[in-house]
Amino acid sequence: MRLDSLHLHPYGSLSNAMLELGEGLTVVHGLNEAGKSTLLSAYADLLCGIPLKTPMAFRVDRPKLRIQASVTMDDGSTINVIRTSKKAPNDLLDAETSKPVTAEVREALMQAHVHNSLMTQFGLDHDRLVAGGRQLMKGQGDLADIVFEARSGTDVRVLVDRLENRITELFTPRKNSPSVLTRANASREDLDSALKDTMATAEAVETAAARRTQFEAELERRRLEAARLRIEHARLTQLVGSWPYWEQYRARRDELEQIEASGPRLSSDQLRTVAEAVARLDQIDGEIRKENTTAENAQRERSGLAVDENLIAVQPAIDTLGKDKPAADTARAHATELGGGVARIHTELTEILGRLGLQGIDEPVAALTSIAVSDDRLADLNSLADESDRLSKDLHKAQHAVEEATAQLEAAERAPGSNGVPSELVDEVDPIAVASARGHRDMLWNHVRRTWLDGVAVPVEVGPAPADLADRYEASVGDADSAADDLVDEAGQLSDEQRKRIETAAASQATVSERRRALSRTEQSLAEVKQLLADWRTAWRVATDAAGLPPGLGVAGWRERAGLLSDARDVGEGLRRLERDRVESAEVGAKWDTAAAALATRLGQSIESEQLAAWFDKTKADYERSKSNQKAAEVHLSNQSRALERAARLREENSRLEESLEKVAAENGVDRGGLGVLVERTESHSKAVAALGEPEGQLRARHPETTLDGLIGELASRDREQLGVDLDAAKDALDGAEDAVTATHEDAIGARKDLDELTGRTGAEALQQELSQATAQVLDLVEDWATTRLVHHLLTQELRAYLESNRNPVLERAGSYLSRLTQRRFTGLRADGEGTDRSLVVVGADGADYETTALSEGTASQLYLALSLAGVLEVEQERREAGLETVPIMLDDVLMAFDDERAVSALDLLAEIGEERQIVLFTHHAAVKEQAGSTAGAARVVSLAAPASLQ
Amino acid sequence: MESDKLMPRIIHAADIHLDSPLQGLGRLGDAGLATELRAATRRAYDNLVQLCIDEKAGLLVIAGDIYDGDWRSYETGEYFVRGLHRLRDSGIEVALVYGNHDAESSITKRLTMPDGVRVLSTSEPESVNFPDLGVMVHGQGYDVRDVLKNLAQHYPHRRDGWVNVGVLHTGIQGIAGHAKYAPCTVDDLTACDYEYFALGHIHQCGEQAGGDNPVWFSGNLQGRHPRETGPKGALVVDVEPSSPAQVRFAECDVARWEVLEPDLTDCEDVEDVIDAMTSEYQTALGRAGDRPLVVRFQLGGQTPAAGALDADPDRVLAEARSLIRAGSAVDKVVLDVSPPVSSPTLDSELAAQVTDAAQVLAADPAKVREILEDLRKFGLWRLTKDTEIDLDRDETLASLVQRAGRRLTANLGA
Repeated sequence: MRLDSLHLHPYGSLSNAMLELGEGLTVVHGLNEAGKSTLLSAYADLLCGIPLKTPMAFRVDRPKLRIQASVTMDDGSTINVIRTSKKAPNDLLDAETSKPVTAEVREALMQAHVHNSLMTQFGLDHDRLVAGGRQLMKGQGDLADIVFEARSGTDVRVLVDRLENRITELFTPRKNSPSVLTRANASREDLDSALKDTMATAEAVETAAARRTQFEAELERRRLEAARLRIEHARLTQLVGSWPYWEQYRARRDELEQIEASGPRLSSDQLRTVAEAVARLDQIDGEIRKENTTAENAQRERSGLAVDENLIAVQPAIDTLGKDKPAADTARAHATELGGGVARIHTELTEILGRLGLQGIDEPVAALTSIAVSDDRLADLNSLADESDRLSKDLHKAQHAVEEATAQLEAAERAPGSNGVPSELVDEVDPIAVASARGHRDMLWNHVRRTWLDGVAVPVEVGPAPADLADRYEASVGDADSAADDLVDEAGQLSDEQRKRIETAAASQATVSERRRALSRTEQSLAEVKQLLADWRTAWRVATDAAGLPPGLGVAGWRERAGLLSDARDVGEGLRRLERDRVESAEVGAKWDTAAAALATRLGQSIESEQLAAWFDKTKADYERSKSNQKAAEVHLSNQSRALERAARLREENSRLEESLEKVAAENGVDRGGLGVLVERTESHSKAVAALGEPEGQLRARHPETTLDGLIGELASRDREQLGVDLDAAKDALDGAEDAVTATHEDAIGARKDLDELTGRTGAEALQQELSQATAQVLDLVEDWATTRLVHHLLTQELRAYLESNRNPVLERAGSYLSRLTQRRFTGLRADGEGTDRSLVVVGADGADYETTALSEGTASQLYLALSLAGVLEVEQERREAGLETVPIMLDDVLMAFDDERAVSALDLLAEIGEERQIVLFTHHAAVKEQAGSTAGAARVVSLAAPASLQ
Repeated sequence: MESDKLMPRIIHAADIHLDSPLQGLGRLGDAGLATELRAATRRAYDNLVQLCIDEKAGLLVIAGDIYDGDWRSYETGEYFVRGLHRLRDSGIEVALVYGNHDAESSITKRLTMPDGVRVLSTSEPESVNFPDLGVMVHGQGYDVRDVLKNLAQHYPHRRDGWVNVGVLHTGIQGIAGHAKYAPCTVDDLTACDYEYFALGHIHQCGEQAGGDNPVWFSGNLQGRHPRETGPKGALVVDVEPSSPAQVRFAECDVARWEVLEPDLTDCEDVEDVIDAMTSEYQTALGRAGDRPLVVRFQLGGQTPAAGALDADPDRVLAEARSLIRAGSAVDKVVLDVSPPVSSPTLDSELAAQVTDAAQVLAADPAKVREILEDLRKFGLWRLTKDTEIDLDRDETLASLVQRAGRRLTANLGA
């Protein structure tokens, strides 16, 4: 494709700029800030799109940016397009229709273009030229890299370096290398090792458990053996310890056998019968003697006891009197005490009667009856006394009301006008005012008359109509009459002062009348009260007379007398009650005395009443003594009888025992006297049997595990000395077995501890997780390393392959370009060496080879330009063959390091290449512009410094 | 014997893989979360025990692979037994068969099971009954790791009057890559006419047959690596004689793995890629509930952002870690992107050449092994055995080469 024109409206710093380009080489000259960079950017944006973050949107916002271009495609067709910042497909419009361009056009324009790759593949600037030249001088340049880079848009050298660095960083197959993978793997191995140490494996646990089981079984076996030996040792020890008892047993057994051989013995029942009978007979004699003595003593005691039968016969009466005597004594004392109280109250009543006017009275209770006032009269008198109090209060109140009414009347009478309205105020008309009003009326009349009759009021200049004049006169007269009548009416009214005085006088008179009526009412009330008092006095007199009270007794006197009468009645009542109690108490004492006297009579005694109590006390004591003696005699009699009965029974028992002894003697063929020998032999035999029991018991107790016969048999079969030897041997064997148990026990404990330690281990699963994590990290790194290694392999392989297939045409073209650029100082290029050692060599005009490192900086730049142009043209060629559009080549100040001659040569070369494809060279050097102008005429020169040409 | 018990509840679990490490936790960067996840298989086992108790189950059936075969810690076995004791104390019956991992596990041979736990024979099919539940369990475990014969063929036919439950650890035929162990067909299993068949070995829960003779894999209890994604747990089975079982899934896992593969086709730059990753992550977060979530971002396919991604993979990982919330973690970001075929940044001929070169190399595993020869040092090569990057496998090598080719293309286009 070819770019014919570029129109920016607006874009970057340019609001409306047009750049027209030639078909071949176009040299665009502009000073700094003239817009060269803006145009280069517009070129890239046209083909690649306006980026989201474009630096060109500073004058206007991004949405307003516009780049319009006229483009001739490789097939010769021309299109006019506008690039905008909108989203596809509206970012590329047909300038004619303002609609998105067709897909074909879009693809042709944009195919294989993004900013970086476009400028890398089809652009070259001064910096890159210098850097590339310097790399060549350091022997780093590689043609394949350059062409490859041009094709891929990537700095292949950087990529290879990056891959190699990454490979080294990740993994270097050396121990102790600092690579990431080595370190990670070392950590993983550490964890693996730690896990092995921590994990109690099931196998280890099983082995430990088996070991423990084995030791425990061994321990059990040895314990059993030790136990067996211990039993053996204990048995021998027991036999040795029992040997003295065995010897004792053997001696006593022989003695017993001897007794048994000496003659017959009583059976055990017979022996028991004989022994018990003999012992009982010894006891019975003594017991019979003791019972006889008891009977005699009882008889003697009984005969010494005295009993009064008379007293025993009156036991009920004595019991009753004894029971009642305390109450009779108390009643008697109470009656005496009550007698004193009666005397005191008698004196008190006599005194009260005296105060009521009854002197020298012996029977005050009786006298009290004579002066008693009946209850109904008492109530009447009390009621009258209360009414007297009320009437006195009413009288006092009525008198006070009269006094108050009198004082108020007097005050009213003293008020002004209370005697009536003064005579001068009786008339209703004010004569002075009437006279004055009449005078004034006359004056008005005179004034009217004078006015109308004298013509004073007639206007001279206006002749009044006669009828009108008469009306006005009548009106004036009417007004005067009316005014005069009003004056007279006014004069006829009373003055305010007069009216007030009349009202005051009338009010005072009314007050006086009212208070006189009030006084009269209070006086009437007073009179009524006084009448009630008179009536009361009459009633009181009648009542006192009827009650037999002293004449002239007033209300106060009556109230005192009534109090005394009440007191006397209360005292009299108390006196009667005391007397009654005293009599009742005296009766109780008298009743007991009567019963006591009756008892004395029954006993044939006569006792004074005063002595009755003392007599009864003595008689009761006698009675109780007789009663006691009677009971004791009965006890003695009973004892005597029982003792005699027991003595008889003992004698019978004696006879029975004697008979049984006779019987046993007969049964054994001896007489009664021969029983003693049999008894003695039988007892000796028993003793021998008992003596044998002691050593036998010892032997049984010491050997509970065996029968006595077995034991005796074994002891009888053993020799004492050999037994000692056997015991020592058993002791040694036991000690050995116990040591073995102790040792095995320790082994078992150790095995158990080992097992506990193993089964108690924790944390293996956590370590396993950590190990898993570490392994995952290592595997990630392995994967990363392997992939990177393979990427590196593919890339270097591809580079090599490319170089193999492309080196000749590219090298030849680049050598040709170098020759022209250096004006034949260097004539060509060739590759030297093989494989990765391949390097670039420059052929001089003298035919000699020169290493690129031997070139000057300027020549190295020219070599790099030659290589770049050859590479770009190679890419262009490949694009064309692939059916893709060619792209204009953009060069930015690439001739800066060139001297003038070589710059001219370069322009010539570019112009020549321009015949095939479009090249745009931006420069800020005027010399280059001028040189371009003088070249073979194939270059178009555009100056940005001249604004007019851009407008 | 006729049982009057109706609808016994059975919990079907398998592939507990107790103390099997969760792979890749070292990449998490979240130490707290990593610690929490270390005990994940134990917590999941605890959850299973609790599930049995909460569901008032009568019987727990474990269809093999209680342990990891090469894991030998005695403590692991003790932990398992403690859980069984808890079940027995709660009156829950247990029947289990050993799987291929258990057969090679040294723990299996050395552990004493609690009274009443029925470990089925490994020499022939064994039937054990639970009269209180009216259930009869038929099954056979593994005596060696590689049981390659069809065990199911010899299972007894159903016993009438009982709820017949089969239990088998098997790589059922038809499931890719799993047919090796005790291979059998679904028809072999349904032919037994059991009310329910509990299978183990496949780590993904799923129904193999329905109707009157349902056959189920419960899947494993806890996902342990990025290939074991989604909910994991056990099956709650309510069943009565001669009736189809009612089966429902109950989650037991304590953490989730998710492999997220955002569509990067339209992503122009790294920012677009991060947006796409964020969107995928939010969706996955919703699926995981309140469990810790471990995600692997698998960035693949053709994308205009390929060059930018490959140029700075560390940034992509950092961005991935910053976009996730507390309680989640990034396992890793796998970068396997390439520029679009029509990428403007790359010479298509060059790209084709690189691709061709990669294909040639991928087809030459011996050459690849030679290139990677350095990894044979320090046991690194051996370390990859049976992992995602098993270097002894030609497929792994080919995959690595293809990825390297894509990466190179992306780099050249950058």
